[in-house]
Amino acid sequence: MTTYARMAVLTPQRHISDTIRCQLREAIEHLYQHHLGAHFRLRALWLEVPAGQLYTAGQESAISAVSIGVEDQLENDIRHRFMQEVSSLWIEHTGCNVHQLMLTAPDMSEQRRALALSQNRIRPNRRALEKLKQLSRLLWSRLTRGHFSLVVNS
Amino acid sequence: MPLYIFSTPTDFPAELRAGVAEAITSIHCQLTGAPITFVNVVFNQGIALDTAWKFHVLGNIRKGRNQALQLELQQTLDRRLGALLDVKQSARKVELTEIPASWVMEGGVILPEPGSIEERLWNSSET
Repeated sequence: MTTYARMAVLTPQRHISDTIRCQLREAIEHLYQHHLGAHFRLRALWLEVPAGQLYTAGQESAISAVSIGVEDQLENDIRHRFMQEVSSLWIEHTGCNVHQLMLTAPDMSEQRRALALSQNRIRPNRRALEKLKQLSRLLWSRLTRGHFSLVVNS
Repeated sequence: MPLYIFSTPTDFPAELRAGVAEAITSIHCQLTGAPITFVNVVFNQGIALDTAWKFHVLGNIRKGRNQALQLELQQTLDRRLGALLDVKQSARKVELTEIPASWVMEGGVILPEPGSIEERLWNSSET
């Protein structure tokens, strides 16, 4: 039975082309299946940060933060081998340097918890509406750009 | 790591962002001893926050530090950002969440656990 894993990517807007994004998703899904099981599919969500809104060490930066959920309590040996290969793949495809990638591979349950924390900052009576807005934007980006993406600003 | 998400309900002036990023970075590094090069701050604007909040900060930090340090970090961020932006306590919120270091890779290496020998070596190589 197919199991979906989530890859969330926080990245500077227009830093990675639509073509590269689709290639990355496909290549990382291939790695995921190799390391973690052929029954997995990867859903990628690109969260775009407009210019002037991302800082590292107090300076504007071009870092990408990538979170790929893995099965709960996965052994670190497997987790780390997978992460190392994703890191190499990312650098190869995007041309970024090793310091422009922050890669996390959390347990899926922890990834869901972190996402819920992020949703909790939204006031309760607006959550449904905000989700609807996000969903429509995601579908539009999928139709027009070939991947699911959102700008971090509402 | 850490990654701090600074959210506001309206546009946040560009001229204030560097100051906020600098404040978060220096507070985090002073209290935890982490290298400055790994502190990330992202600004989210136009977020439908709780009506009372002028800003909200969600900090993702490495797991393994003691509760007292974590509380001090949260309270110092809250107090200093409130003072910097002139926002009263009831109109701001700072939250921290943790992730195990062994789940994070930066600079091509898995991050060391806070307080470990590996961390001391890592700090000296990054500063």
